[in-house]
Amino acid sequence: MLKDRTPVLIKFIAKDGNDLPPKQQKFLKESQNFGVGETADFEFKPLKAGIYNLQFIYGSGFFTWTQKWLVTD
Amino acid sequence: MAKTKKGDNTSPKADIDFEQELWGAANELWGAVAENQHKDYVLSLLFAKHISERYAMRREELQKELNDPRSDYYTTSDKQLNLVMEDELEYQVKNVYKLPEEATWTYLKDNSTRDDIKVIVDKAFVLIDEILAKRNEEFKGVLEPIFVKSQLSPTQVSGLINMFSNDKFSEAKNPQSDIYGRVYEYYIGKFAQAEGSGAGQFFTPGSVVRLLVEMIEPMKGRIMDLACGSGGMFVQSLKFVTAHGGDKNDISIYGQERYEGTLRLCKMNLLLRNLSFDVKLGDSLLTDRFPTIKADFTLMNPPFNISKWHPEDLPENDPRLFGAKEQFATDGNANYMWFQTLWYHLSEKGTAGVVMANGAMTTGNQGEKNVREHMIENGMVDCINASNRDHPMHLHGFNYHVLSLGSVLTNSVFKPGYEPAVVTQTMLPQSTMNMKWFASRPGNWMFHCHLSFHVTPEIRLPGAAEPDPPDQQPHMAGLVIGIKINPGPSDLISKGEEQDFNLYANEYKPGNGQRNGFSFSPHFSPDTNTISTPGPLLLLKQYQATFVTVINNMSFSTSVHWHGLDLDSRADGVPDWSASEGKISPLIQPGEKFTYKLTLMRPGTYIYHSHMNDVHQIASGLYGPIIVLRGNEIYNPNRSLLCCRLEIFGDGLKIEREF
Repeated sequence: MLKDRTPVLIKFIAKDGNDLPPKQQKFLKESQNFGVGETADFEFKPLKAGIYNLQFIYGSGFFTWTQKWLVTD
Repeated sequence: MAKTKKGDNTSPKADIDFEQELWGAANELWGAVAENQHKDYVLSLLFAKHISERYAMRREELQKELNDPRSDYYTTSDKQLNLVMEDELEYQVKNVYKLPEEATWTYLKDNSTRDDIKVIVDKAFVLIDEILAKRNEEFKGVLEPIFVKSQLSPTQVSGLINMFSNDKFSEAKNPQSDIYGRVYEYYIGKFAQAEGSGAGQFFTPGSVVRLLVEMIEPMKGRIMDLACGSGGMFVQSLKFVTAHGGDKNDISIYGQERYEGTLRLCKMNLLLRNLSFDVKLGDSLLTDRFPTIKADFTLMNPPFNISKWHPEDLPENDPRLFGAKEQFATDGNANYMWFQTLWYHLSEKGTAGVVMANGAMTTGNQGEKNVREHMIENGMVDCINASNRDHPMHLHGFNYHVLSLGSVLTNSVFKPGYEPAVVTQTMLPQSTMNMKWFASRPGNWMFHCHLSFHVTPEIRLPGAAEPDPPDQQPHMAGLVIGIKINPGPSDLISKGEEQDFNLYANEYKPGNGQRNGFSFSPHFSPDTNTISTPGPLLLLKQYQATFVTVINNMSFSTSVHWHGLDLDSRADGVPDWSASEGKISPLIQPGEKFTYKLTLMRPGTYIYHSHMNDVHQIASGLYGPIIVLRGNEIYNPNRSLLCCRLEIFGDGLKIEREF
């Protein structure tokens, strides 16, 4: 998750529908790699309003896919 | 566990790097001897020199102590001095053999120019062999009188003796260099190279041996190799222990070898390293010489694909067999008897490293298949990605726990309670995974790579599976394993009011080709240029029995798999495979429908997707998200990311934002 091209922390909370043990629920600048068929849940708590970009990277960075998120006050 | 850096298994080297020179010099001496016999002469002489030099070093050490006034051994009495020098125990205590003069290297060297040098060498060998056997009966036959009957000339024998008498080639002058071990190892590798495929019985390439040892890390305990050849696995284990700050006295060695000559090489190899061991002669398949020994580590590179190994000679109740002899003793091939032997000798917490022919993983021979099934059903195997690609490995219908993830050199074990629970785990190239799950529900399931093009029928390997009947759709093939769980109780729970809805599988034909997608609405326009991919979010509630009727509005058959959900096998959606109580999940033909009963055991985020002709159907849009909410949880679309909408505009995709 980027704001003004700077990574914003997201919290990795679940994998494949299973909540991670609390000690493994970590704030990350970017997630680990996920393979086809893996699902993950992240928690995002924005501290500021603005436009955020959720970026997915595939193929060692060759492809990127970005979704804009609008956070309002 | 490791006190030194992992992989740092180099022993201290002295300034000697002349193995190659020795090899070259030895080769110049040949001519009369068949190449595959060189090793018997060279390695035997090398061993005799080692035994003799250790004896000479111990004599010198004793002499110094006897003459040193600060030593407890100090004496001025010649009689006392002689008594100590001739006391066998003074040598045995240092694992050294006391030799008569005729068996010493000095004697051989001094007489090397005599015409009867072959007789002198043979006599020395007989003497050394008797002395070895006197201390340990198992050492009998390590050195045999082979020179007189050889075609070697006295000059050639003299040349070999002089070559090994090189001043640089001395343990005394190069302490800590493991000089004999190094040269022995180098020579045995070179001999193996020269002999080609016939060398397999005594030699496993160093890279393979190192790999196995690094994987199983034999630091302490019993190490066993029942096809031990010249003992390379044991020597490498010793190197591993030494390199990681361990003590060689913490390992004990058990080996068996079928060929007497090879066993002799093994014993010499181990004696050179001052290792204590128990290695025996015999065909491990038919005569297990260690029937009561359980090992902490078993290492093996057995001969592959031995046919005619005479399983009929096995006792009916051989304890190594997983079951009845007629089901598990495979007459066509001994590969799986090796596996059973390996398994039988492993202690409860033991680890095995074995080299086996690739074909053994897929063979359909009935006996071998029985053994393989037994091994899998009893959790005896790790999952190994032997390829150079990532493989996201997905288990249908259940969570599984990842107990450890490894590579060829390491294995990271998760702490109990912290083993990730997943339905898909990506395995990196050349990696390993140990997994566990509870087969808590009957039916037909599967474990497969989730990359569609790795399970497509087009990549079916010859012999890997039975071909599809001509009147049926081609089934999955490739990186896929079917799992059958016998009828029994189920762990599924449903509570509260049931719900049901329809899900339409649609076919769109925009300008640039065919697209597919799911929708809640039956109304769609086949020529629209806007489709929704992925399909609609299915918002479901934990424990609420949910009936989803999939209506196929496409021109081809399909099915839907509810990826990640714990459910009844028949609802799992693999056509002609998923089944429970005799009812099979069907292929939904064009114009037809099928109702899947979903059980929602765990809240979380999941996927649904076609499980028919995956490469084409998933890629064309037949997939979507599922969120299972906890009982009282309210879904807030402003707090949760839905899925993006893709719009097709003629020549490409544009992403439309959605919040």
